[in-house]
Amino acid sequence: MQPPAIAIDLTSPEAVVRQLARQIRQFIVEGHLSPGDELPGVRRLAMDLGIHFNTAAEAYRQLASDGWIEVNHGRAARVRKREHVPAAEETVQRWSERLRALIADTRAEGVPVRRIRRDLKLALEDLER
Amino acid sequence: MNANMLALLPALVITAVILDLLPRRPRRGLYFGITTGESFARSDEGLGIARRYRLMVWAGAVLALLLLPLTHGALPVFAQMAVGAFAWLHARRRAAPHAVQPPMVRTAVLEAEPSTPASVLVPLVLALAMLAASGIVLYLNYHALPERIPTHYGISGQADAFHAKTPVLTAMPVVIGLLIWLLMAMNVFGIIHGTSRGGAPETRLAREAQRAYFARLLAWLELAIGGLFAYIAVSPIVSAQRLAGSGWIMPALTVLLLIGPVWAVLRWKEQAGGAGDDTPDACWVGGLFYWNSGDPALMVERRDGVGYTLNFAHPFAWAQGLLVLALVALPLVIYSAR
Repeated sequence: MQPPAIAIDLTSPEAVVRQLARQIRQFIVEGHLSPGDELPGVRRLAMDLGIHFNTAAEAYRQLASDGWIEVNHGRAARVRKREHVPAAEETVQRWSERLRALIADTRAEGVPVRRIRRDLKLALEDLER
Repeated sequence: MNANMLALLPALVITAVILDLLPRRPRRGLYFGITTGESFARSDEGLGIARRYRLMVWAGAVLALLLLPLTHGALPVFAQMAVGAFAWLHARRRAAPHAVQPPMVRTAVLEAEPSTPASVLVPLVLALAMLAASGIVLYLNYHALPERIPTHYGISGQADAFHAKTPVLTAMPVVIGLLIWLLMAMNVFGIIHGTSRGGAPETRLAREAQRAYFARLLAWLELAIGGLFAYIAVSPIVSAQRLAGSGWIMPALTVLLLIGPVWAVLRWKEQAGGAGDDTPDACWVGGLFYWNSGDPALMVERRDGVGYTLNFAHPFAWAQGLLVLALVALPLVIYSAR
């Protein structure tokens, strides 16, 4: 299997740290990265993406503090095995609202319903793989 | 035709061929080190720039050949290099107005640190072992060495300078060999571990293969160089007048050292996709020297098409500079303080 590739858009309004952390988290959730998988060193990743070392380090720190990866000094960062924690009712409610708002925004921008349906289906398939 | 001409002639011709090849094999989206996009090289303007560049390069080669019988030093080489440099800078100046912005979307794969392949480690370890062995042989045979030992050999392998034997002087070839080994090892590991692995997914595998190829090339070249210095170090034990077997060893090594870079040019496969190499044009001095303190990479792909170069804003690049300085200064200091 090809290792997952990260893409950082330097023109995006989203901070590079957030882009990096979000994509790694996404790869873990979608199963492209499994518990125990080694991540590249912070310097290596920064070098590959042409970003500053501290930016990559901050993204790893955020992922570590959220429990997605474990970072030990002198050893490669690894994906952590996460215990399933049931979401609070409030979180579930917020998710539904965000999804509806996103769909409404997307439709307002002219994306056809069948395209939205197809993308949601693909995302679900990725999640269940 | 004297020995000087014989030695310089192939070097002048090969240099002209290499300079001529550079614009024929432009890096993806780069032209004379400027990020111009892929189609510019094939445009009328791009072809015109290359034509004029090649004309100047071959004019420089003809000039050097004409100077060859008239001078005894390296003047023809300097003349050729000066004309080549002028041709390169002139072409860059003409290509600069056509520069485009490098891609703002950077990609990288999430995979663990690669290990150093055995095909790279083995020649490096062998070279180090030969140098160490020559040091031990010299130590054990120090008293058997002649009182005046050779410190320089001509192209024919005949010793043409001698100094009184001292432990430091005797060990110089080994020390110089070890400094070169250190320099080469830093470059080899820099290419494998210190070069960006980013870029479009379709170009990533090609870049990976090129890194492995260049690291191997350097490692095997170092094996030849290490072997040569080990051989020069112990040679006075056998003969104080000439290098044993030098009739074929020196020409063979010269050919090897010339063939290596030419082979590298021919083997370099252009990578599809993308415009430019993700490094900003503003950080390249003359398209040849890279200085970017914001880039953590120690080495980057050269913009003139073949191999790698240092990011001179990286502290390790300066460590390499000091090593080169030591390589130049050490023999001068030691040999002049006899």
